[in-house]
Amino acid sequence: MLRFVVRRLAGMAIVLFAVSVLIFLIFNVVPNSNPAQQLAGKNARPFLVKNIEEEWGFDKSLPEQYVTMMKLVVNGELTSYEPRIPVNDRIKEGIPATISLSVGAGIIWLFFGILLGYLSALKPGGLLDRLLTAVAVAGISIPVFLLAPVFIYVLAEQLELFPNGGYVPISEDPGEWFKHLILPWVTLAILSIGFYSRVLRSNMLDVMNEDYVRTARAKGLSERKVMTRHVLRNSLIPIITLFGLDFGATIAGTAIITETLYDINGVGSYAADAVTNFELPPIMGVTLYGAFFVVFINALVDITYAYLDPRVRLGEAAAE
Amino acid sequence: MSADLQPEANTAEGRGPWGLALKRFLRNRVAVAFLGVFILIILFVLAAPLWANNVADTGPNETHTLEKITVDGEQREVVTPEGKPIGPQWFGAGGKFFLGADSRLGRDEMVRLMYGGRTSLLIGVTTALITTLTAIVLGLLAGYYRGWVDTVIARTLDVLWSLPVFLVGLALGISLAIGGLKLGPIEISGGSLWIPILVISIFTVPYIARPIRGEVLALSEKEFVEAAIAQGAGPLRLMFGEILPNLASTVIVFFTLTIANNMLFEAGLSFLGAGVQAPNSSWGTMITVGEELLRTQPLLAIIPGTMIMLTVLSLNIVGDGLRDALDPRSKVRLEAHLGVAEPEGTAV
Repeated sequence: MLRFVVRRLAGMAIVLFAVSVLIFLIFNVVPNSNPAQQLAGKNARPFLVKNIEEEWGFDKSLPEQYVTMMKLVVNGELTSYEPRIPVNDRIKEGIPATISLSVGAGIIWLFFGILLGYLSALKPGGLLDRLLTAVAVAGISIPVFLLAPVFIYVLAEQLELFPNGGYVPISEDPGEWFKHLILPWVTLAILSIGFYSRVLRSNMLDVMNEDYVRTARAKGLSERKVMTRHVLRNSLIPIITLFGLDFGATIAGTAIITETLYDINGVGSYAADAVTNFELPPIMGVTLYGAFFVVFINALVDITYAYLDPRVRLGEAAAE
Repeated sequence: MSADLQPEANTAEGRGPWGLALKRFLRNRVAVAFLGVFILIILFVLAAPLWANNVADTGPNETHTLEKITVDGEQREVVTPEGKPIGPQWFGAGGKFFLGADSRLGRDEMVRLMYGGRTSLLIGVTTALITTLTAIVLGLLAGYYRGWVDTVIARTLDVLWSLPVFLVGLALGISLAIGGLKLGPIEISGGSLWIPILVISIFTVPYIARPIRGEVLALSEKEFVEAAIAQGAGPLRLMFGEILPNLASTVIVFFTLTIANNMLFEAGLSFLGAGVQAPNSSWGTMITVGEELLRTQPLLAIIPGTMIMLTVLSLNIVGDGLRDALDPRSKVRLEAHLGVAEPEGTAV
C-alpha cells in the first residue's frame, strides 16, 4: 500500500509540473503578442506595461520566466493591474459561495443519480427503465444555460417561488442561504443525475451476473436484500470514485457558468468577469489553483480506491 | 434480446455487416426520428441566406436601433427609447423580426439564430473531425508500437485527461483571443473561428484516443493481424489497412457523440466570452446577449438554448442508436465517452 501511495504522489508531482508548464505556455509563450501588454489589460498605460515586463522578467530566458511566474503564484502575489487588486484576496472571498454551490449540488446529484439508477436496474428493459433512460438522456443533453434562464424566468420571475439570483452567506442567514441556492443546486445537478443513473444502471447490470449474486439468491435471501446488500453495494464503489473526480472538476470549472447565470459571487464568477474584461492575472490564478486542486483530488481518490479495492494496487504491482 | 435477433438471422443471407447495421438502426424508431430532427436543424441553418435576403431583408449584424416597422398597418419601433427590443412579430411584419430584435442594437433575432447556428454546427463538426482524426492516429501509434511510443502518448493523454478541461480551455481561449496565435508560417488573429476550434479539439482528444488505444491493443493480438504479418504486411498496412477498418463502428459512434459534446463546450466558452468573438456569433454568444434581458424578454436566451439542446439531444440519441446498431454487444458506452468506464482491453 505504501509503495502505491508513494508512486501515486510522485505521479501527482509530475502532473502538477506539467500543468504549471502548460499554463505558463498558454499565457506567456503561445499568444502572438507582448505578454506584458496582455497581462496589463486592455487600456494599460505604457509605464505599467514596462513595470510588468520587469516584474515578470519577460526579457529573460523562458525557464527563468517560468520560475518567476511560479514564485508569484506560490507566494500568492498575483495581482490584477487595473485596478490593482491581489488575486488571492478575491479568490478567498469567493470560496464559500463556490463551495456552498458545489457541495449542495453534489449531494443532490449523488442521491438522485443513485436512486434513479437503482430503480432503472431493478427491471432492465421494463417500462420504468425505459422512462428513466429517456429522462437521463434528456438530462445529459440539457445545457445549464437553457435550464437556468427557464428556472429564473418561470420559477423566480413569474411565480416568485424563489429569489431571483444572488447569494447570501450562511453565516448571515441560513434560511436565505438555502433559498437562494436551491435553483442553482438543481441546475448544476441535473446533468450529473442523468449521467450517474446511467453509469450505476450499467454497473448494476454487470454485477447481477456475478457468481456471488447467484449464491445470495440460492441461499434464499429476499430479492430486496440481494439488490441492496449485494448488487447495489458493489456497484457503488466506481460511482464514489467518479463522484470524487467530478466534484473536484465542478469546484474548479464546471460551476463557472451556473455562478454567472445566478449572480453568485464565487470564484467562478470572478474568473468569468475577468474573461469579460480581458484581465489575465485572475484567470491565470484561478486556472492554476483549480488545476492543482483537481490533480490533488484525483490522487486522493486513487489512493482511497486502492485502499478499498486491493485489486488496484496489486494489479499495478503485477503489471510491473 | 435474443428473440429480436432471430428474424434477422433468417434474412442475413447476402447482406453485409453494414446492411445489417442499417437495418437495425432503421428499426430504432426513436433514433430515426431524432436523425430527422438533426437533418431539419441542418436545413434550418443552411437556409439562413434565403431567409435573410428574401424574408427578413437584413443581415445578422445589421442594426436597426432607430427604425420603425409596419406591423398589421401600425407603426412600431424596433427598439423603444428605454432600450427594450421588440418581441416576436411572427409574420405580422411580413417575416421581419419573426422572433423579435436581439437587444438595444435591434438586430433580427431569427436571422442571427440561423447564422449563429451555422457557426455552432461548423465548430461542432470541424472540432469533432480534428479530434477524431488525431485520436485515431495517436491511438493507432500507441496501441501498435507500444513501448516508449505508447508511454509518451499515453502519459500526455493522462495529463490532459486529469486537467479541469473547461477551465484550462477557457484560459487558452481567452489568451489566444487577446493575442492571436503564431505557429511558424501560420498566423491566426484573435477573432478567428480557428481559435475556439483549436482549443476544443486539443482538449477533447484524450476522450477518444484512450478508448481507441485500448481497442488497438486488443485488436493487435488477434489472428488476422498475425496473418497479415505472415503475408509480409508493413506497419502502415497493419495499422491503417487491417486494424483501422475494425475500429470503424467505434469511430462513427464517437464522432457523433463528440459533435454533441464539443457543441456544448463551444457554447460554454462562447457564453463566457472565451470562444466565438464578435462580429461572429454562435448560439452561445446569443445566450450571453439574451441573458441581459432575461427579466423582460426571456425568449432571447431561451430560444438559442433550446436550439443547442435539440441539436445535442438528437446527436446523443442518434449516437446511442448507431452504437446499438453497429455493435450490439459493445462495451464502449456513452459512459466511456464521458470518461468513466473504459472499454475492455484497456488495462495492459
